[in-house]
Amino acid sequence: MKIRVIMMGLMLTSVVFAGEITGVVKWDGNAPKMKALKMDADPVCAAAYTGDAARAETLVLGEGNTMANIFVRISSGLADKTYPTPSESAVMDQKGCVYHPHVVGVMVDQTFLFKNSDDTLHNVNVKAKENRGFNLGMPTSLRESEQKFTREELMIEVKCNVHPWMKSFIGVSSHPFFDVTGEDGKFAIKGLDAGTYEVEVWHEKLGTSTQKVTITKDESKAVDFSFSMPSK
Amino acid sequence: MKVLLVLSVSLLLFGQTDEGTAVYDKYCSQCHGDQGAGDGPAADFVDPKPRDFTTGVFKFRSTQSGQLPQEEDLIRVVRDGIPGTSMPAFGHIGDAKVNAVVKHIQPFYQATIDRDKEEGFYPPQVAETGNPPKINDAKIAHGREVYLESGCGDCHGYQGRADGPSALTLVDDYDAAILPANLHRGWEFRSGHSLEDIFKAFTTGISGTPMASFADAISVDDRWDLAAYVASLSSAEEYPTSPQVTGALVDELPQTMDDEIWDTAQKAYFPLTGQMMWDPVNTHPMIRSVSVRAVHDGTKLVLLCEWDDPSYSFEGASAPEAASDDDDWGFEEEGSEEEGDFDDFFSDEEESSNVSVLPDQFAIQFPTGIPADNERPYFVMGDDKNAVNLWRWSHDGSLTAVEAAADGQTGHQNLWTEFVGPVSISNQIAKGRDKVSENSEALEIKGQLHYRNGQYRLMLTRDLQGGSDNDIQLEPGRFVPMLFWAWDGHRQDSDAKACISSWYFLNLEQPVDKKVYVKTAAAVALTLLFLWWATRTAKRRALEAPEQSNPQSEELAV
Repeated sequence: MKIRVIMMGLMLTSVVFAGEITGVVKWDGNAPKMKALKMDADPVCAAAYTGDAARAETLVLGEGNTMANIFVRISSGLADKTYPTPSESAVMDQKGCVYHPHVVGVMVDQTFLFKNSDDTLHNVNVKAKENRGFNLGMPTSLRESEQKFTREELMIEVKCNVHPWMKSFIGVSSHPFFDVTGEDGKFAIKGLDAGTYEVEVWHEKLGTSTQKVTITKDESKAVDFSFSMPSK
Repeated sequence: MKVLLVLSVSLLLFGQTDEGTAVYDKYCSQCHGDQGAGDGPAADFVDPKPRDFTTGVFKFRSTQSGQLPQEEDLIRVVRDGIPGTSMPAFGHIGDAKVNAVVKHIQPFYQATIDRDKEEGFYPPQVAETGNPPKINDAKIAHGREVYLESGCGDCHGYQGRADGPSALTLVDDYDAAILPANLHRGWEFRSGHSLEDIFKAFTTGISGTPMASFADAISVDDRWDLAAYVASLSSAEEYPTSPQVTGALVDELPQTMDDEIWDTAQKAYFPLTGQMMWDPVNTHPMIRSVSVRAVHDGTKLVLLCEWDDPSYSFEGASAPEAASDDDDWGFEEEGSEEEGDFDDFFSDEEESSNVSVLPDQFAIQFPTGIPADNERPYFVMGDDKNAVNLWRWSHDGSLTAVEAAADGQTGHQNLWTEFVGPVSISNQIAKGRDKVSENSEALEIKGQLHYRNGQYRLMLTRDLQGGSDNDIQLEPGRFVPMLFWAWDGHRQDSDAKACISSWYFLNLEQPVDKKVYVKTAAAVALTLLFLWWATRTAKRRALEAPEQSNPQSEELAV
């Protein structure tokens, strides 16, 4: 018990004082207007949007063209060791016939909670390749389902076949050094030891790009990324 | 030498035997590929695509979602084939060979086996089933509730005819369009149609397809009731087929499709298939049978034809298309200042996810004039010498929508599609598929159409005789060849690209001749008279017997 407390204390301090890599991901180009999702095939979905319609989430930009839904992780430079699995669950909710969040990270063996907050059938078609893929029917009689991913896999596509516009991505990481940007485009990867790391950013259509970053002990360093429309 | 050694070691390790290899190379590799990757030389020509064993994803399992099948599951697929696909049944090669080939494909997904072994999922765990209950009406009715509450109708439709609002958008994991099963055609279920098979389908899910596992969502008991409901939708007879339709003679013709007369009329089933004689051929016939009833009153014929079509398509309409995972970013056409950038990048993209469709059509084909015995024109719309008479309906969209509430159903309005109205039927002459013209001075054919939840019902009325020389002349008592055409506009069926039956017969009951009664009565009277005479004679002889018997026996003795 004592040891545990000490361990936790150590981990906590390491989080507070260890190095971190932060940054902003931006879209380099004009901000396109995304298509409004047509949900009238299912009145339950359509009823969730009385005002503004939900829009396609392929590109979600904040003010100043910052990019949301970018999965950021350390892709190399970490010490070869196993990291403890967080006890809290990663969550993906199906609400208003859209996945919340659109991109989510989870550690190997961490509990992943699929929720259905809609009064309609969703099927969670997890198209994993490294992990065991499955297709879970979630009618209103199944509001929550706990799953686990046992292997690192970047990224797993999740689809709802009943509502073909619904798509999301799960990044299963073997370590805890990852983050997903919000609309402000910001990410922060904390708790890093001194070293040289490769930071990888991923977008569902634009793929990945990486930058090398060296941090010293307890240093916080910023590194920004930008994506643009690929030339033809 | 080294190579041989490696080979033999791998054979020992993976259980591949000479027999399994021989069977695989002979029967399987053409589609599934040398190394089981679903890439054999014939793979491009089959749809659905052959399984890629290396993915370790198998559709038909008795095991839990996300797990490998049991060996018995694979043996069953090889032995019995998969209905409605290019996978034939190989039971004829014998159990030993079937077992050997199932062992042979194992190494193709060895990586999946290893992973599952490591994680404690191999051997795979069989999904819990309990015992199948005795079916009764209450269970079927409850299964119907489970069906609606669980959202089965979103794809399979309100009445199970594969016409749910999501049906046309479905894609499989290969990103190919895939259709939900029409639950009224159980004999076409890919994974079998026994009560256990149906239970299994929604318990385990069908991997690689939109069909999810409902093991966690629906209790075992409710799933059995659901299975009972689904099973109740199909006829007991598989692929029901009739040689002819007999039109009963009635005093009063039915005015509507819901007339009670139809309940007593013979319902004939005629299978349809894709037209494959002429380009463009129809490799994916959507409409696979039509049921037909007929009655007449001596002057007019009324036909009631019913067929399933999950998509309601008419001239100028559009419909959702399969939501394949293409490069669509979901940008709106307008809205960005320099939309040119995006247009440039997506120049070959369709802006709308809807596709325009062709009209649904239906036709009945007869020979022209007075049909000669045993002579039928060429089945694909006749030829120069032998023309055919077509009664043809093409959907112009002129029907009235019926509100779901009319049926007293609430809560599932989005699953409801109903249209009704009179339709015009064209009377055509064809001397071949590309020589179709309107039949002038033809008899009028009246049409009433009703579409509801994936099923068309078309009622046709026409005089038995009259019109032009090209009109089929119908005469009670005479067998008349008839053939059926159906076009699914959503699948771009038109002209010769159609669903077609072979020739069948229409036989109209003859009115009973009054003389029949007189003749029958006379025959009965004559018979009675003869019997009376015969009995009397026999009795008389019996009385005289003693005197007669002796001379007879003497004669025999001599």
